[in-house]
This record gives sequence, structure tokens and C-alpha cells, in this order.
Amino acid sequence: MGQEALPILYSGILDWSFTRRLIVVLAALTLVAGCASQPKPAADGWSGSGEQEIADVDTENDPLELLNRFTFAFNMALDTLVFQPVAATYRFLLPVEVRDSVRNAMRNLRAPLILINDVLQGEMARAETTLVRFLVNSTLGVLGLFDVANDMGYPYHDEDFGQTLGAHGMGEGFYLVLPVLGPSNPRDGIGILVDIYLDPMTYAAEAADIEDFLLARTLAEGIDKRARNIETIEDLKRDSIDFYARVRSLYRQSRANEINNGEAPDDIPTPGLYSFGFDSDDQENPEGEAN
Amino acid sequence: MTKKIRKAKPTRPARKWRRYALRALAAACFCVAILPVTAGAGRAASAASEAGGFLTSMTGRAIAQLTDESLPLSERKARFRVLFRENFDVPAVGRFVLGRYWRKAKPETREAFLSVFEEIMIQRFAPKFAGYAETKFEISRVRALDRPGHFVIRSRISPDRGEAIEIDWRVRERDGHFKILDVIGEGISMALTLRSEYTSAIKASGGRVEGLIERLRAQVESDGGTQTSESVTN
Repeated sequence: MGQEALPILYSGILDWSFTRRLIVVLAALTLVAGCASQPKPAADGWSGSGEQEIADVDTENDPLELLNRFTFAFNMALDTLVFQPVAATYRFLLPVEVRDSVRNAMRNLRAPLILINDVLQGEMARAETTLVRFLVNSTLGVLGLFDVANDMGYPYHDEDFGQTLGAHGMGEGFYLVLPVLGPSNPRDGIGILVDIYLDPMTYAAEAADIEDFLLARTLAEGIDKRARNIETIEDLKRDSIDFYARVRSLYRQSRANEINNGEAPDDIPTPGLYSFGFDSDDQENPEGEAN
Repeated sequence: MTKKIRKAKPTRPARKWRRYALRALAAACFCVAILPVTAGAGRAASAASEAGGFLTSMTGRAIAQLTDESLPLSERKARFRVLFRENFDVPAVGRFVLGRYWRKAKPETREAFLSVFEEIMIQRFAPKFAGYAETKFEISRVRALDRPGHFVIRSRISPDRGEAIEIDWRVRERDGHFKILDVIGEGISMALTLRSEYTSAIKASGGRVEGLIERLRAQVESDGGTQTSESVTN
């Protein structure tokens, strides 16, 4: 029975032995990454002394850049051929009220998992918000179709196990573009897999004999998200001279922001991402340029 | 017993005097200790409110000057250029986004980069204000950073249509003048994002800043044609 829990998730895409192998590989990668690039005690990034410039060499934390760029190009092609057209059609066919209800329902199905991660992070106020949201929206909100709780002052927030690991101090490891799923890293990749097992809906769907529930949910979420960002993504692409590098930076910053729940601890943005600051001009010495 | 106590205690007036002296001393110590603190806090608070005032007046002017759609885009761009130069520390931002490549760059390369960087910023942001004349701008808090003169100002921008957004502005005070160093939304810093992208592009052209400049120029030129379509779709 234990091994049957997973096939409902990605039957057809992943099987159990593959998943297990992936976990082992990701865990190994994380260990390696942990040794290789523990987040340095954020030397204040704004001072711009010479030493920090040297540290600047690998701030992108992307040792697998070549492979990542390849996967990224594959994902972009898949997006252009499949996801973008599907999302655009979805947006064209359905009125905004229906699309909002789809999003509300998908969020509601995530609520139990978000609640668990809230608790694992010790964020009791946020856990309470999630619990109230789930109870209210599942009943008054007609199985989650309407976000009644938001109007009552319980706004939505997202959590996942990758964030939980991050909140407990685990570093990102390194930047990793996953096929289909997109920008990630070993920590967040492990988070995705752990979330499958943590999510009560996994077991509920299994008990209710709903096949491919998690896959269907993931697809619906993905299409909804893509449909909401059609212009944003076009803008980003058009503005970029290196779209890959921009997405990498956006992902890393946005994950760091999600992990500290929007409250940057000391300096903003995340210390450590900066390594060389605006004050560099203060110490500028043109003579030293020759080297 | 009573004798002993009396012996130990000084006479009434002496005790009184000593109490006063102690109190005076304590008060003096307190004043000396607290004075620089309160003065410092006062100064910091006033600098923080000045920083907020700077930003409020800047956004007020931006909304007043840039939102009128009936003005030709070229005019709005010219106005944006003035505001941008006045309120953004363009050289500091330029240095930051080039990262370590700034120091290796020749003065004329730096100059060329800053100039094309300004064009990119104008092209990107000048058209964005059109039609948002009723936008409300509020400052929710100003935080002084450890680094002297650096502040992070959190603002809430409620546009005419669409959802309100929270934006953090990193500003720096120098000689009584404030300039913006960075704009941060949802934890995403513009300076950091641009630096990540630009240094990556420089790496791709073999460490030459000139390579980046060429690509940025090409983008400025190619974007010139699509500009009108952008303002239509918005």
C-alpha cells in the first residue's frame, strides 16, 4: 500500500523507483552543495571593499549553468508550443469570475499542506489564518470556489516545504532548472517531493480513488498562473538581453523573499545576494585598475 | 541595639545633603548619557522624515508630469529624463549593476554604458505612467539602515485601476540631497536583477563591457518601433 501512494501522483510520468532515485540524487546534491557553498555570514554587501569584489565572482550560485541553460531552452520551447497557447485559450474562453473560482478552488485544495508547513515553521498566526481560510472557504465558499475568508480579513499566503527548509536555515544549494517545473534548486526540489507526502490531499485522493489528482491539480495551477502572467512574461522577455539570467535572479530573490515572509531581516534585499555595493565609489582608486 | 544604629547613621542634615547630591549626580549622569542618544535619535528621525518627504515630492511630480496621455511620448520621455537624472543616482546604480566589471572598464566605456543605461531606463519606464493620473502614493515607514545616510522607504502605490502594490525605495543622503539607489518590489531589487543580467551578458561576450553596451544599444533601437504598440495595449 505504501508504495501505491505515489503512482496517483505522476502515474505515467514518474514511477516510484524513479522518484526514489531522484530523492537520493537530490539529497546527495544538496550535501555536496552544502559543503561547497554554505551561505557566508552575510558580510554587509554594501561596503565594496576589494575582498568582496573577489567574492563577487560567483554570486549567481549556478555551477551547472550550461546544463541549466539547456533545460531552460527546452522549457521555453515547451512553453511556446504548449503552455502559453493553452493558457491564452483558457483566458480567452473563460470569464474572469470563472478563472478566479478556479484559482480559489486550487488554493483551497492546497490549504491543508500550507497549514502543515505554517506549523512546521512555527508560524502560528499564519497557521491560524490558513486554518480559518480552509474551514470558511470549504463551507461558506462552496468547496473553495469563493474566497470568502479573504473578505473577512484572512488573506491567502503560500507555503511549501522548500520554504520550511529555508526558514530553518537550509541554504538553496545551487540554482537548478528542472525540466517542465522550471527554476528551482536542490532544497526546493526536495521540498516538492516532500510536499507530496506531507499533503493530506494525496491520501484523501487515494482513499477516494481519484486518479491523477495531484497531476491534475498541478496542471490547473500551472495554467491559471501562466494565464495571469501572459503580458508580464512577454514584457520580461522583451526587456531582457539575457532572459535566462534575469529569470534566475528573479527566482532566487523571490524565494528568499518568500522564505522570510516578505520581511527582510537586516538589509534589503537578502544579505549575501549583494556582494559589492553602491558605496564602491567611495573607495575608488583609478590607479589600482591596471591589474 | 538602638545605639549602634544611631552610630551608623549620619546626622539628619548630612543624610539629606547626601541624598540630594546623589540625586543630582544621578540626574546629571542620566542627562549626559541620554543627551547624545536623544539628539541622535532626533537627528535620525528628522533625516528619516526628510527622506520620506523627498520621495513624496518626487512621486508627486512624476504623477503630475508623466500621466497625461495626450502629451506626445517624446515629451513625456524628456520629462522622465529630467526627473530620472535629478532623483536617481545614475552613476552609483550604473556602477552597482556592472559589479566587478566597472573597475576594469575604461572611463569612456563607463560613460558609454551610463548613457545607454539611461536610455534603457527611459524607454522602459517613461510610457508606464500614462493614464495613471489618480494614483495615490503613501509612505508606510522609513527605516534608517546601519550605513549612514541610507534609508529604505516602504510605500504603497494605489493606481487608478488594478491592485495596490508595495514598493521599497532605497535612498541615500549626501550633502543634504537624497537620491534613489534601488527600487524593490516583493523582495525583488531592480539593481540586483539588472546586475545579474548585465554581468551575465558581459561574461557571454568574453568579459567585455562593450559587448553589453552593443546589445543594450540594439535593444534601444529595436524597441523604438514597438513603443507605440505598447502604449496602445496598455
